Amino acid sequence: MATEVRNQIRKLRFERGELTQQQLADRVAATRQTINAIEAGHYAPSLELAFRIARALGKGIEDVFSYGDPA
Amino acid sequence: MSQHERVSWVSLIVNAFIGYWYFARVLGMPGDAALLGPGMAVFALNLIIVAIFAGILSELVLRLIQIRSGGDPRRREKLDERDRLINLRANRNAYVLLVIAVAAVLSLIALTQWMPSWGVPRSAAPETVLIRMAHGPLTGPLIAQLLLLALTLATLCKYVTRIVSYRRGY
Repeated sequence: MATEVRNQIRKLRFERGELTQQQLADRVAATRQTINAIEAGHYAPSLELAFRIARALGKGIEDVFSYGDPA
Repeated sequence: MSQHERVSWVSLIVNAFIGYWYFARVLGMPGDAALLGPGMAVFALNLIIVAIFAGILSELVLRLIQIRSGGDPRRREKLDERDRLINLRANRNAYVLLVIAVAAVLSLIALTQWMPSWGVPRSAAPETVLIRMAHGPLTGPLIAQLLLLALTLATLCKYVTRIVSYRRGY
């Protein structure tokens, strides 16, 4: 099941010195499997988790997440 | 595979094994009189012992898997929001199944009470608990077994939903 929420987490992780999924998960108090599911587009995170991920990656939430087809 | 998914797999296997072991024996018993006999007490005691050993064995298997995958066996993964949502979905599906199963049991009680000709004609095969459940009359021990079957199916539904949600995404 895919979600309409798109994300740039994978790209941004590598821009931040090849941050692993586990490291990102530890920073945002989630499991590695959840980060993997978000990256793969199988799970749309809550607003709170989305903000935490964006903050951990040093970006604003709209730089990390977008909704629907890219315009 | 996360620790919660592993726990779901092991719980599903243990519950399916114990459920099958129990109902394969009980449904084949000759009539509901056997459900109240001394043999049933011994069987129930054996079941409890098997369930305890299965619980210990499954915990050992989980810890061994965790050690082999390089994790600390004492560390318990915390539930995050996705785990909690998956648990909610699993509990909801199990609850829906339980309600349907209980409604089916109540309907069966009503049918066997007020429609003695309910169901297919009885064959010449020896009467078992399963046949008595289908044709009635339903006594207290038979109703208890039917409700236990409903609970077992709801529990299995919970673990299957969890595994499917973890595999296919939420």
